[in-house]
Amino acid sequence: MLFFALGVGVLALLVANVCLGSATISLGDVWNAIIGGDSRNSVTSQIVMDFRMPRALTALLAGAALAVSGLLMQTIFRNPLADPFVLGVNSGASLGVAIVLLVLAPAGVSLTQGLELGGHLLVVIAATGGAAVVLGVVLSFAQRVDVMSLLILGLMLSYAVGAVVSVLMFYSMAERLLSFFAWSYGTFGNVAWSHMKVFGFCVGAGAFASLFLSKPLDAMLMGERFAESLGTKVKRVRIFSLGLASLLAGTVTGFCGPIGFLGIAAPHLCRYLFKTAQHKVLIPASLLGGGGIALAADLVAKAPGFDGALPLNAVTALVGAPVIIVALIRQRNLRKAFG
Amino acid sequence: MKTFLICILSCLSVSAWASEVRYAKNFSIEVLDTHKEITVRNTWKGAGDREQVYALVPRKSALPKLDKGTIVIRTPVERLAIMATVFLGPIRDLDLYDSLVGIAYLDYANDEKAHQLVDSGAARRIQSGTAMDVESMLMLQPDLILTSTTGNPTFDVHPQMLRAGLPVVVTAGYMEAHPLARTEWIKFVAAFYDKEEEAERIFSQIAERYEALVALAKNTKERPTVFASAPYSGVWHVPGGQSYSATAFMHAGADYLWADNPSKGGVPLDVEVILKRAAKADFWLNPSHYDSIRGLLSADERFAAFEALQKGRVYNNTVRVNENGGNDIFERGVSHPEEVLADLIKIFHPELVPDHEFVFYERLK
Repeated sequence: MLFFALGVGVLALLVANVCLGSATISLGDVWNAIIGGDSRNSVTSQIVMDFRMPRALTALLAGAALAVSGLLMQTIFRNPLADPFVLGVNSGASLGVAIVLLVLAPAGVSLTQGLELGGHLLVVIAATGGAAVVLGVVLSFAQRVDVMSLLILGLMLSYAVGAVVSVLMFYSMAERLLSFFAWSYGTFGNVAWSHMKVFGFCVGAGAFASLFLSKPLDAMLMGERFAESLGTKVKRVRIFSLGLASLLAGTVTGFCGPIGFLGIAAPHLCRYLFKTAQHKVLIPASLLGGGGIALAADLVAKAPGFDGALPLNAVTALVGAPVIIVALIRQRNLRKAFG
Repeated sequence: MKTFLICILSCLSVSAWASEVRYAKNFSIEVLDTHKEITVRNTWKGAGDREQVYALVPRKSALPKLDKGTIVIRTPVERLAIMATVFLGPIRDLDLYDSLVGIAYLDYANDEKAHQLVDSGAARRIQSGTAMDVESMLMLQPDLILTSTTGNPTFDVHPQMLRAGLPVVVTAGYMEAHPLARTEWIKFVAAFYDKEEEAERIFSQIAERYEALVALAKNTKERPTVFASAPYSGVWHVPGGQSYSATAFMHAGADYLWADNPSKGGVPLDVEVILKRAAKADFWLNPSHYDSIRGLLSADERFAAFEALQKGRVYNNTVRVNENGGNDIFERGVSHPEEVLADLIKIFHPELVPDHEFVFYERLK
């Protein structure tokens, strides 16, 4: 029943995202654009079909991906504050983008041309690549050290990579910094239909694979030793989960920029709503809940009725934080969920 | 008697070079008996009515009595440091290379002589922005440091330099709305070298050519519609209706689609809003750094929705970009807006300037 209500809510948000935006388009025009019967007003149908639809779908997928990614990390590290960025997804992606925008871009017009790529796609590749390199380093430690050391290793690597980004920023011109800041605000509006194949595939595959992890993850909540005694192959689960979380968060960061808060918030909201720590409930719930929060945040960020747009990252936190604070206060105690 | 004569003579010469500022709104020059006073205002968006007065006192004269807060610069300047490449325009036109000892952002400079000066050791690279190093600025011993300000303490270094006692002058050319107003800052630079007459002559020629082109484009029957720039991360910063880009488009005989916007700077807009208004526009200008249609489309295939792109009417000022990405339009284009305007007229009304060859602009293929 609760799943049904959540599903209906997400669907309503999806529809609202397609109907509302900074350009004012009547509901009739939106409907005409969708059924394809409107040839006289092609600009509005282009806005609806080529801009709003992929944007809404991107928000849904990105929210779902970040939420599951956050859930996996929280369980593996048994830490309610863990989110995809803890292991360096954010800083690795930032380094990739900083190299493109701050170091190569001044000389980079020819670079993007040589690769027959536009700036945007190059940024996507740089961000995903940067995230992957940092995560590869962290995951290579995953076999050797315990989970607490891994968490600290990830954080340390994040700081170190972040420091390199700071140095690059320090030596950059104001206008270059501006494009870097623009990237760091995050947006769901950059994914066109042609990018959607790659984006949708990575997120879909990751989300589908995560559904098979619910049993070993439940065991991991009891502690790694207990899970081992139950026959869980702890190291393998750890690597697989973190790899999956990285794939999901890395893809989203590459295409949409570093979108904070969702990864931490959505799993907590689902724990509160469904009052359970079982992953067979929490994983699908996080997929839906994360998608819903992302859609709601994007609706606010698009600021319907105004010409401009708000930075998405600010909105996710401003919209989401009060909800999570209320949920945590009501839930009073997270320890139950983390054993 | 002798001093009296000198005073009379200097007053005469003063009245001879006292030039009128016609377009620029952000500076004024007042010629006094003992020195010149330059007032600069509106140095950054949100600076309000704040004014800064600079006293240009001849090197050999004693310091006159000045108001509190006035910054003294000894003239004529012998050692100049510039914190932006935009100042290279007046330096070239007035031939001030001999005094140039420090250049920030040299990699972005298109001026060959500036590079030669640094290569030969006569001038030095200066670090700028957050990386500015006060000690090496002090070692450089400049008489004058020209800079501009953003109002953002992270990037602005002039307070740091002022605290160190360096002779820094904050300009406001980029805050001007009229392309000729930005050019007129050549008179400002000239005042520090007592070269006002030369500056006036150079500026008058440029202004004359510019105004002639404006008059030429004014009477055209058809005014094509134009929009500008390209989005980054979903946000499209269009030039405000009062910006110098918007003014240049209108002077070139086009209807700028955001002419009704009251802003002087860039206005962040959502892509949807741009598409709704500009889908059928005739021309798309200055799409970020892209210099090919293929590049634009691979950045975002949805740009194909713009009719201007479908018809191949996308132009960018990417002809004179050096290997480091420094665009000469911010250097030569600022001091020669008549060349930029002629390019724009060739884009919108090629029949009006049949002999003109593009200087900065190219049609994207």
